[in-house]
Amino acid sequence: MPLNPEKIGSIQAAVLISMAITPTAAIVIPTVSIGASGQDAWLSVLAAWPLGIGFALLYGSLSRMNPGVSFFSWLDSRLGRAVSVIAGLLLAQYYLSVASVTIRELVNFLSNELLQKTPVAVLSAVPILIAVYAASGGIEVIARISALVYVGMIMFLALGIGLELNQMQPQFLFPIGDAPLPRLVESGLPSVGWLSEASLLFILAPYLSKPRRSTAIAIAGVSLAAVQLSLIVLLVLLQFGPELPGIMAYPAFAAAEIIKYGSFVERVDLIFICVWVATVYVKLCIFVFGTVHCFTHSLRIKAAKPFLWTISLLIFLHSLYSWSDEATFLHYQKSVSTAFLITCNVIVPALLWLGLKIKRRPPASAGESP
Amino acid sequence: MKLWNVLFRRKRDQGSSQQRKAVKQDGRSGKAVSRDLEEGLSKDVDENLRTIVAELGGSDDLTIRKIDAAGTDSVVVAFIYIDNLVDSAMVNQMLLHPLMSEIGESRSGKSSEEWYRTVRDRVLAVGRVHEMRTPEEALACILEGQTIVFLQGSAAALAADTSGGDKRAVEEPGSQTVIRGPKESFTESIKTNLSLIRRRIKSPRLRVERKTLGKLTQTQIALVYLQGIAKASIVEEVRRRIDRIDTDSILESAYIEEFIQDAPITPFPTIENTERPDAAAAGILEGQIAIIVDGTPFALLAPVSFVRFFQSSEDFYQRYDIATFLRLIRYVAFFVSMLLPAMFIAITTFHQEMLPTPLLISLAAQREGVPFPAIVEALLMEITFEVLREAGVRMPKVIGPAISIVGALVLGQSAVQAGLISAAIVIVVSFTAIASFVIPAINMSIAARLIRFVMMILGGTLGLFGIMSGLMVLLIHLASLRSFGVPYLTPLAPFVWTNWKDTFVRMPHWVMKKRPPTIADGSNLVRQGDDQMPKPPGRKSKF
Amino acid sequence: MRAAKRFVSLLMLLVASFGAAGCWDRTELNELAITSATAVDWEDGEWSVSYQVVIPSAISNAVSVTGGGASKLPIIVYSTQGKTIREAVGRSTLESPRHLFFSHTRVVVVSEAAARQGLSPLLDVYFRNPDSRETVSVLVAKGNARKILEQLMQIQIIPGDGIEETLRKEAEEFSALPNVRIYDLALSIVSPSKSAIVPEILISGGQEVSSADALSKTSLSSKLRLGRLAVFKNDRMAGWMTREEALGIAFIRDRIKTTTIPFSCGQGGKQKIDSAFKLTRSSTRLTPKKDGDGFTMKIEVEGEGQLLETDCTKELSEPSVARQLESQLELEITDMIETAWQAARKMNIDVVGFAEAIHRKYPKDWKRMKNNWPSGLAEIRIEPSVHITIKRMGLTNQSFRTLTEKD
Repeated sequence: MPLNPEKIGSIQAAVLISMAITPTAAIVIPTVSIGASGQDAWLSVLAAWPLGIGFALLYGSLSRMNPGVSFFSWLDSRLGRAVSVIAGLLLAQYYLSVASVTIRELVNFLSNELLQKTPVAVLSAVPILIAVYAASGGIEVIARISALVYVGMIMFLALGIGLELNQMQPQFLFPIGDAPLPRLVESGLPSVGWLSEASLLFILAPYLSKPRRSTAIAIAGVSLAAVQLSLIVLLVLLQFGPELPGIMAYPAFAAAEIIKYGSFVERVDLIFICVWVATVYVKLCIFVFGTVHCFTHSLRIKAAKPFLWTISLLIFLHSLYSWSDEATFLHYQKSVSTAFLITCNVIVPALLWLGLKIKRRPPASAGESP
Repeated sequence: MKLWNVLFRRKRDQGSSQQRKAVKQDGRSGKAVSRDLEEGLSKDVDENLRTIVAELGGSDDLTIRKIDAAGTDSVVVAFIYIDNLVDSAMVNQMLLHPLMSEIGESRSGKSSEEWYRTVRDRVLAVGRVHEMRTPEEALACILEGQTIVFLQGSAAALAADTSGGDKRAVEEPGSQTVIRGPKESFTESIKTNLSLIRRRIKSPRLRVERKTLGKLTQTQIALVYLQGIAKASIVEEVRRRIDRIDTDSILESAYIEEFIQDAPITPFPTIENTERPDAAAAGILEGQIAIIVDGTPFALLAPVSFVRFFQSSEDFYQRYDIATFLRLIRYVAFFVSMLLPAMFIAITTFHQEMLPTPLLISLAAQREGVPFPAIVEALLMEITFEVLREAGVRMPKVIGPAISIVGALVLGQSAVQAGLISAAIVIVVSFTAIASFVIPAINMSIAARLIRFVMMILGGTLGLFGIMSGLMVLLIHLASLRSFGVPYLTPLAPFVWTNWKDTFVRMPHWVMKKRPPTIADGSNLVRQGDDQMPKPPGRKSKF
Repeated sequence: MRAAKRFVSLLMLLVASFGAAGCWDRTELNELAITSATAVDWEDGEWSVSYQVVIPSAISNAVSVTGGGASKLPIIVYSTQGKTIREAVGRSTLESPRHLFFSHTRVVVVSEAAARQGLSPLLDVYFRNPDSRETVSVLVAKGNARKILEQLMQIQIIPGDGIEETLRKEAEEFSALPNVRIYDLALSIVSPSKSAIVPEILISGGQEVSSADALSKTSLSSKLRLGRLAVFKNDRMAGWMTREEALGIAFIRDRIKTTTIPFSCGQGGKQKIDSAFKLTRSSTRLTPKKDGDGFTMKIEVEGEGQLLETDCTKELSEPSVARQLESQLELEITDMIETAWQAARKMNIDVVGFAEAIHRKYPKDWKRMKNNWPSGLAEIRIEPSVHITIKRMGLTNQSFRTLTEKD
């Protein structure tokens, strides 16, 4: 097997997809879904999994039609320039807004938990600069760091579970199936929205070392994310029961906060917070890269570097000024965000897919592009 | 015709001597000098000698020995060499002695052409003899320590390799020491160094490519690799990068390293250096390419990945279990040396809740009355330590004990007693310093030292979040580095399983069946046969 | 090449911006007032919060020089008042040169008056603020809670630490009083039973020990000790339970880790308590059983341990004797459970956690019962069944009395 470092391996790609989903979801999902459906929240997250796999199949089938060029130049050749530009700008807007939400979430967390007095602008500038640096290194670099950070995250997740074992009370999970269906749907919807972020596969497609496996990659990425999310929800439920997490802002970290073995192993939540910050950085890198990629490729801009800086400035300002306070932001996260994610990630690709099915030309060689 | 030629040349020589002086002053344009040296040698010995002497500006270390035919005044043979570059015993025994005894009998009645061939083929008792056609060639050989033999009447000269002179014997390595393992080190002589490698790899596939670099220093360098094990593409890339170098001096392999490395602006080394022939041989056997430079005991090895800098050659000479343990210790030490002061600052000034209560109280008690903030305190101590270390390296060996007394007693103990700094910071700085010596590659430990200061400032302003951000930048940077096309973080990301047997752990030799596929040629990876685990007859089930 | 340049410039930019802008959240260690315990009182319609602040220099001197007994006092205590808890804390800046630092607080002592006022403000403060930890142990004091903080301890230099250690040891080795942390309290208040239990702390003895002089005696005039069990209904304290009742509650709620049970080896009636048993493992299962309209709660206790002392003249190595001792023990424990249950029923508070058990087993019925809980508690019958195994009899197989009574 020839080693090709310029391309993204299949495992790296799957990890990349799951890293695009979990960092922010791990913060919001426990609160929202336990708040909605109590001890059955983990079931609702698991129920979102098959839907996520459905998305993965859609993305996979779209990506596999692509002969290995950038998603937008391929759309261009199949559906015309107008469609590719519109889709490109729409996706660029999607990546941009998710990047800003990610930063905002990180900054909110940091100024709530760690650095109350540090100006918010500084806290958001640091991640942006790092994301710009990573994005200018290319998606392969991001894929590599995401694999490393992922391994670290899994290790610390396992460590966390081990340390929290003695606080877990299995009876918190019973009775199973207590919540009525509408509440279950309400609690599962955010997870569905987040899992749809696997649409990252579109921009990964031309960089994959084995593009034929893209469906499998998407399914693996979504499954990793779904399992991880339900694990975190389960972890929170086992420690705080069905009532408390709904009123907590960061129940997953509160669970780490109450770790206590004697008077030596205690107050270790900061270690977990640091690992989480690293995962958020990776997510941010992915989405800053995605924004620039969608923007420059759909408009066929050759010199991407100036846009990298302007776009990141835009993300910076967007994250700082779009939501005046935390309450507005939380409201956005709980209600608007899911609809937005599903529109950009499910409806748009589905329309494109339909368009391609209708416009499929008999000779397959027409899709070839220089 | 000949006379005219001589006259003409002489005129031109005089004419150009002014110009040559000017050229010498600016010191760089060797090309301008060589232009009129490119013409052929004259048939007249004196003429040739004059050219050479003029070219070297009549340096006093130039030795000329003329031999005339019996009974005449006319010079028949002349030797020219630079005094201390040649092995004078060899010149006397192998060149002078045979020639002088031959000169009477065999020269008579021969044409100058025949005489030349006799001398070349039968008289000079030296292994490497080759013909010189121009003064330029001759000059280069003289500067390399060869002896030039001019024969009256022939327009070619003979260069006999008599280079020798004073050089250091093979000694124990000064920087990369081992407890168990070969005690030989490279020396300043490229010949010795090549022989040290050859002696370790007696394979016909070992290739040595010599090149000369540096217009003034004319330094010899050699690429050494194993044909079929080193990737051809990487060998070609190394060759290409070396041929690009246009400089007037190469005094140490670091000069070359800076000209050919992939990332010029990074604290991390992307080319390995070693003064151990066994380490170089091990690298070559894994597919690395060694670059040996005359005049320095440090050879370069490329390509290299990050984890390679945490391997010591001793890892492979000790038992694998202890080697694994020590290797893990080194990784820990690297992070300690990079992060410990920063973590200390971040935790004591931002995240006091992370400390166990008794520790917090005793640290707080130490800090009572200390005038500086923790970050300033730590920076001061770190800089003090760097000063001490630099002093330790530079100062004459005789004053060594004085510095250690002043450093340890005055700076450490008294500063704490005087309440200028807290005792904890002294402990942290000392441990950091010791940890930084554990990393086998000095250039990697320097990287950790530099990053330490950045991390301390980050930790002092944003706490653990700052350190985390710094680490992330570092990770991104490392992931974007490559060494001759090989990603720097290789066995980790991209993940390469074969290399993992020799990354954090050192598996037994019989487990490491294959060479690292990232560096070595993919078609020839197998290092040893299957099933090499020792199976002594006593190893049966005891049940 | 360009990437590397960018790396360096980015690094420089980061460093420069941080250096120039100063250090926003930095707090040096000598700017902190490390609080080892807090107390919350309710006086004249105001919250009064007291802090037991550690003096680091005094402690580290004490440790190094005298090895325990402090010549300088290791702590100071002061209080601030306010309409809300955090306002009171905020006012501490008026009198403290240092920033109060709560992350290392071990215990929070709540006065009975404050507890009866309701603890939700306290819980809110703990869950809302990142600097206060949810792992703080909660205690209730009958009178003024501040007095508890002023009391010095003899072996443990920092009283706050000492109280927490005592609590932890007690919960491990005697198990009558649980070590209730803030999040435990919150969890049990929001659980279906809507009740909670918190141990009491009190100063026993007269003259309180709050000066170095008082501390320099082998026998202190007063000391801190754990007392009864405070019972909460919702977030308000409703009453007290004795330690014996508390042990029964601990059996029902499966909180026993290790405990010592006195019993008499002779059968029947009221006999002299002459033996003690160390229960080293115990588990309880609550199984609600629908019984017509109401519920019967099966309480199955399964335990094992070893004999600590006995004064009875039986042949202990006989299996039948062991069986008989076991049944004595089982009676004793059943008795405790009954007493505790009666006390809970009298208070009409679900401290025994029956609500969770019913909710888990019969979620539909629970929806119906939820509204008039815990009044429904009175209608529940209990069916305790205890099974104890004496694993070891110790190093002698007969008591000394058998030898002394022989002749």
